[in-house]
Amino acid sequence: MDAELQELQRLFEQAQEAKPSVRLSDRNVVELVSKLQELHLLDADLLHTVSGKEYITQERLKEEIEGEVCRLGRVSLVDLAATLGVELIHCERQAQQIVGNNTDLSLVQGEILAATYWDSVAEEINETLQEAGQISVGELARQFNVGAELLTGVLGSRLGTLIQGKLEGGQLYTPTFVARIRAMVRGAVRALIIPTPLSTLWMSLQNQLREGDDGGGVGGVTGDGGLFQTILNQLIADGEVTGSLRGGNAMWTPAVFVVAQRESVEAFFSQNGYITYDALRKLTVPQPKQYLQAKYVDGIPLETVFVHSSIVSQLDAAAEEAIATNTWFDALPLLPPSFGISDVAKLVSLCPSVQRALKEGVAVILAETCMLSNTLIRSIIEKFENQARELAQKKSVIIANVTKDAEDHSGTPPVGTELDADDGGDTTQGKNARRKKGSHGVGANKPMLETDLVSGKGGKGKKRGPKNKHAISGLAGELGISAPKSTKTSLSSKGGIAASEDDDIFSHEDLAAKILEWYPDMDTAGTGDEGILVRTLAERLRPIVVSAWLDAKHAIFSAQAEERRRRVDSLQLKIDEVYANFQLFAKALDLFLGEKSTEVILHRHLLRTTGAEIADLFLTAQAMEQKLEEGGDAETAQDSSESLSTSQRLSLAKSLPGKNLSTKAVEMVESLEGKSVDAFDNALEAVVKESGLRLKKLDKKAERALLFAYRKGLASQVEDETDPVALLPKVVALLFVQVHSRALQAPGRAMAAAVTRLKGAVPEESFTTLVEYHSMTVQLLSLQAAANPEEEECTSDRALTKREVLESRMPKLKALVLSSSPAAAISFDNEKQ
Amino acid sequence: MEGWDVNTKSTVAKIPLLTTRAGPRDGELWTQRRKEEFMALIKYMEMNKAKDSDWFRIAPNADGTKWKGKCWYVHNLLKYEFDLQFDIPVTYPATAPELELPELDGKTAKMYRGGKICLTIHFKPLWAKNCPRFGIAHALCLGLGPWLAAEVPHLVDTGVIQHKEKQSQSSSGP
Repeated sequence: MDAELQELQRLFEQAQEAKPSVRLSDRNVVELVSKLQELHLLDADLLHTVSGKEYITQERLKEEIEGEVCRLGRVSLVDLAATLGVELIHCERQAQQIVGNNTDLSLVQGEILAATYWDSVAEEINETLQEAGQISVGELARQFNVGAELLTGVLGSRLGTLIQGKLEGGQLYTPTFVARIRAMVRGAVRALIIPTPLSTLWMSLQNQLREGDDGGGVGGVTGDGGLFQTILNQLIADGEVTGSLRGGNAMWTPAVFVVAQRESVEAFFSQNGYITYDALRKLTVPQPKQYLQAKYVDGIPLETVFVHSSIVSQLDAAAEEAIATNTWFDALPLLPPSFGISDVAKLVSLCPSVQRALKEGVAVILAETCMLSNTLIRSIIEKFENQARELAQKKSVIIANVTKDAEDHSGTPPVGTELDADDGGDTTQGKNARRKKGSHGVGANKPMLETDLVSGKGGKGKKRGPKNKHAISGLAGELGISAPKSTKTSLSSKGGIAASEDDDIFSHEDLAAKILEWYPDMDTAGTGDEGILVRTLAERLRPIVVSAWLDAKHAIFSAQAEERRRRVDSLQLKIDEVYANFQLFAKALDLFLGEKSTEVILHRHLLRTTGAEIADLFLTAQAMEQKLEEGGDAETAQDSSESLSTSQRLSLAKSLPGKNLSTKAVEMVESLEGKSVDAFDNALEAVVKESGLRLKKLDKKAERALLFAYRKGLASQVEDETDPVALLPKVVALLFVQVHSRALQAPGRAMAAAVTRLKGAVPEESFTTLVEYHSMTVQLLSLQAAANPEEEECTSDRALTKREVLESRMPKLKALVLSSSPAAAISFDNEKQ
Repeated sequence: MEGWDVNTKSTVAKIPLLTTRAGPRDGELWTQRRKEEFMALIKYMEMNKAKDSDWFRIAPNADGTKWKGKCWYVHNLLKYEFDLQFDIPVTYPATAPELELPELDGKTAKMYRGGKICLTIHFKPLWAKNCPRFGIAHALCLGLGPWLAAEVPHLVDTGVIQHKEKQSQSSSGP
């Protein structure tokens, strides 16, 4: 047998006999471990690794963590979990225990940090700090990847030991750096002489620092000026700089500035007695009013200015003087120009004498700053009232003249004429003008302008020219407007239109101008606008003046109306009287009814005499009335009552105001030329009615009285009559009265008929006497009429003789009438009754 | 090499291959062959011991034609041990040795008459292909190992075989 083979066989047997290595599967191990735990042979808090293939005990974990911390000084738990291959939560739990047991360690934001680590960090920081002079904690925190607060806390405990420097507002500084900054701040702050916001100061300092650092190559810039602020506070505390911080430590106010400010304020105030807030603001006093009030207790704070009480007393003296002398004063010129109006007004109201005067009502304050004595105002008002009265007087005259002028210019009715005259006779625009006028009537100044434009031509110039010489210039312009209206309104009644028209009179401007005329020094009074005092005064006075003017106008108007009424009354009276006669005489005409020729003669006669008298009376009265209304003076219109010619009457009638009145008057005048008394009577009645008067019909009683008076008068006339020719008609008339109780007006031609009419009514012998007398008179008259130059001698002789005969018979004739008259009258009366 | 599990395959690959083509009648060459067989078996045994999967003991007769020993299998923490014997055929190594478990003769269908185990259909071609490189160690690894792993649990479950301790317990117990 081969040895080698045997050897191999032996080796094989050996291999077979060799003990096999025991191997446990994971599963078996897990089971074993669980079995061990079951049997309490192992601690229950056995941990698995992340892979799940390993068991680890708490002690082992702790050991490993501690080892890591010792090695690194700073371990993140997350990293720890990864390196140890253990669940993070176990690491955390263990780390907490470790940190809890070891005071040198700290667990911050998932990291375990050892004190030694901080020491090394601090050393590192110190090195950097010494190089740079300053480091931002934030930057460091970023660099070391820790929280700034944590780092600040850590650094705080090591300042002065490991770190040679100073921590200030998130910045680390070396003492040298701090000293440098301190020097800079001190220099800058000492150099400041006006209040400066600290932020700008810090900004410039930082710029400087940055420039300085450029050389050193250190880019660090101080953060938010916190260091500056602290250093400044230290400097202030140390007394190295003087001044104060204001506005929440944002503003540095140097003491030197405060002193200068106070001194300048004091100087100005003590010199001038006042100081404006603006001035204080220029000196950057933030709240001037409070500042001054605190400083000067006796001062008076106004809106824009602060005044010393001495200014008030100064004003007070002026006010007292003004009140005492019944004049006025303006506070404005007495005060410096920097005073505002409201301030001046307030000052004025503060003056004790002014207050007293206001309380007692002896003065008023106008235009805010001016004080006027009431006496002064009263005197002005008086002046204006006088003027108003004067003006009203003048105006009424002017108005009338204007109307008359206008009438003279054109034949159209008055109202239209005036308007046309306004536009200078421009008829095409007449209508427009009228409408315009209507709308402008109430407005103030426009019409005035218009009239000014046309004043060069037309009736305007004339109107204004000679007649209103004395009217004040302001009024003159308005007359064109007010005149037509006042005629219109005065015809009806004085209504609202008149009032509005009066608004234009005494406008503020006029009043102001007038006041200025009287008190020229008032012009500059008041503030701002020129003449504000005068204007306000005018405003104040205007209602009074206007009412005075209205009163004056009313008074004048009522006086005119009174006069007119009186005139109308007298006219009525006269017309009544004459018309009564007329009626009386017209009645007598009835006796001659039927005697054609005589009737005509009698009618005509009556119309010529009594009718004409009435017509004249009426026409002249109307004309005069019209003139008066138009402002003509009554004296000139009151012309003598001599009888008018037919053409005169006609023109008068045509010129009467009012179309109806005019045409009726013309009718009347025409009927006067006719033969019928009745026609005239009707026409007369119509026209008289139109004119607003009335005709009184005779009643019996009045007729009798009238007749009696007539007879009485006639009788006395007869008695006194010396002219034989004139005697006859009177005797006949008297006889007619006695016999027929009718008043006969008979012309010479109708005398014969009248005499024959008496036949049978009077005793025979009386009749014959009458007839004889009549025939003789006729002869005499015919002789006189026939007398011509050649035969003058003889006819006059014959006439004379005839006349003597007649005269000789006169007593007889007179006796005929006079003797029988009472008896006849009585008998007539009896007869009547 | 399909038909075997990964473990078996890797193990087989690690057993050293033989080179000598010689049977029991080849005299000197057979000795050479036997040497190689022993080297392979030693290696395989070492590997098994290292892997804690020692599962057989064998020893040859003088001329190395008959081998006897034991093999065992652990199932449910119980070790089932069987006698193992096989002859080296004359045509060896062309013919693989027929492994015998005489104890289990007649107890399972995967067995020829006389206790020779039935191998998978893959065994023979693989053996033929690897002649003369495969030896006794390979035959055990590829043949008996898988057979035991497949059959013993089945036989235990069906109750055909019983653990010896239990047998003794059940016999000596009551």
